[in-house]
Amino acid sequence: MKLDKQPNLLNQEEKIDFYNKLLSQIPDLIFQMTISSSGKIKFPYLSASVIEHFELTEEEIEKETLSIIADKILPEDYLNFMLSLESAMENLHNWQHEFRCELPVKGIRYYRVRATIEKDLDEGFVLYGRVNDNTENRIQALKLKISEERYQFALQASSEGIWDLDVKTNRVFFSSQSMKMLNFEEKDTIMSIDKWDNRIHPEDILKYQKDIQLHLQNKTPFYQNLQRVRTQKDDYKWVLSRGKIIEKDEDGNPLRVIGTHTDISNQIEKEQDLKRTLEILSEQNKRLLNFAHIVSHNLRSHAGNFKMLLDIIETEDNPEIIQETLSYIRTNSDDLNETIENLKELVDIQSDLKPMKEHLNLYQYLKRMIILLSEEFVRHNVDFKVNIPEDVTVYFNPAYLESVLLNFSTNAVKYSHPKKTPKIHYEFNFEDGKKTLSISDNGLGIDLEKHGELIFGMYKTFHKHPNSRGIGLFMSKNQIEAMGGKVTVKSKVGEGTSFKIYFNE
Amino acid sequence: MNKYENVFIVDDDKIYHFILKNLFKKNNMTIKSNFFENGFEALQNLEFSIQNNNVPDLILLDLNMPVMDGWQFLEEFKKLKLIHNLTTEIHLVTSSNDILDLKRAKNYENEVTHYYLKPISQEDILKIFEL
Repeated sequence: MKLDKQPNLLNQEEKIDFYNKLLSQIPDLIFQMTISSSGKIKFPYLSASVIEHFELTEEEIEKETLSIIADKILPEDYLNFMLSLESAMENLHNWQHEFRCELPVKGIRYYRVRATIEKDLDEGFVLYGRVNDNTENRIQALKLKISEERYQFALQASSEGIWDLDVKTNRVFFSSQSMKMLNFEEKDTIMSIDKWDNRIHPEDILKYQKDIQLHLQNKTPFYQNLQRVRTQKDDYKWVLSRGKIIEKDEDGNPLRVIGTHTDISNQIEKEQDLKRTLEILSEQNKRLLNFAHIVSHNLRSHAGNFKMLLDIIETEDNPEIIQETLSYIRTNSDDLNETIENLKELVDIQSDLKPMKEHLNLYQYLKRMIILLSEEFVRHNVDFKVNIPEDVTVYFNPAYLESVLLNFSTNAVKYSHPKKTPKIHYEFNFEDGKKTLSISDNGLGIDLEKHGELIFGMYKTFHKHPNSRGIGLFMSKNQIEAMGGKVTVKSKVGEGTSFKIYFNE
Repeated sequence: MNKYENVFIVDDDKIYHFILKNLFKKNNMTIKSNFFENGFEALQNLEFSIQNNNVPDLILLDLNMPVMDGWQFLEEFKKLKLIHNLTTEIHLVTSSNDILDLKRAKNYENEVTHYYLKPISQEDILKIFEL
């Protein structure tokens, strides 16, 4: 561009006219100010916008300029105004100053003055400069400051962390809250993305990489991933990480992604607690239903027997038969008593909230149980094998342990295969750090596809055989679960059954 | 003439055995009855009766028994029925009113023709034998 030199070609009058026209277009207040060596201030030139700027009245226009300045400037700003002017004159540098005026209509306004200073021939000063209304800028800056402060506060007060990824360099800004989440010093930090990623739980890393890649490839509207992240204390927190690309290059490749970190460990723990409670509740509900069945089933058969036997006595003439019937009534009554005893025992297990637990030597308990059953084992020619280290203990209720071992063992004998020598194998193991005991036999086996659900839940009989499979397994399962453990079963018809007890340690 | 002449009763409750015997006698029912305490005993005798051409025409079967329960017996019976073309009917007589058992009994439609809930009465017996 070529600068236009034309104004210089104009004559004096034309020049003045030219500059006046230009000045009238400038909203700023343009001034020339002189300060004589005696300190007298004059304004040889003031652009007309002064009237508008300072809301001058007709009357004020007639007044002396300096007194008007003194009137308009806020009293607390006046001294600084003068001092800054003095300092500018002393050093002969450009004068720059900001001051406030209080005006009748516009109220308090911010003004900024800028002027060049020259010395005149009489040891006085001449200033050429302009004043502009800076209020809007001040308000904007103030708003920005407030919003910045608000943002900072929000960052600190909320538990959310902020991250800001530079895709090209793979460096990330982590807000202090993100750092605090991982127990690091609560300070905004910029570091390589790997520093965070390396702390993500191995089981969560693949899903995380997939989620972020999908978003970087523009396949998802935003990125979201729930990840377990290792803190400096080496435990894991559940962090919900969300983000969105906010800047792309010309080809649409992402340049910058901003997002948040939310620690939802508490929420997840609560969810898990709730789930556990629900499981316990539904399990208890199931047992309750089971129990109701057991009760109704058993009481019904006994009550029915009483009725039928009494019917016989009432209609029978033969004293021998009456005698026999009476003896059956006695048997039925004894059975009913036993049933009620069994039911009571069941109720005890289920209502005993904290049965006493002790560290029991598993091998010793099993040995004692085998001695107890030795007669039965010999009679059935049982071949048993024990693989339990002699020093292993389990944390269990002594009576429950005896009952559980006895029950699984007598079951194995009772349901042994008629054509095979009964074999029972007791084996201790660790599985996922938990102590387990498996009791396997080569007996009849159970068709788990048909009976699977029912095998432990048996509404099945106590019947005339108080230790028959139904009640026994049901009781054992209850006892094991009351100890915080669990029991599983594997079986194949004709080949045998294997129960595995998982102890809660 | 009874509807059934040769009956197996499979139930581990000896009192039930006694009551049935008594009902048969009181109603002058001249039927051949064999009583067993579990499915295994009944199965062995069933196999024996097949060999001797003396197969029962009715089995009154309980479900909850030790050693071999009613379900296991039904499984074995199903096989024998197929092989030997048995016409034997099975009536379940049990104190279980569990809905699951009722549902399960439906799986044996070809074998099980009736389901009775204990206690069984004189009327039930008369109905079964159509006296």
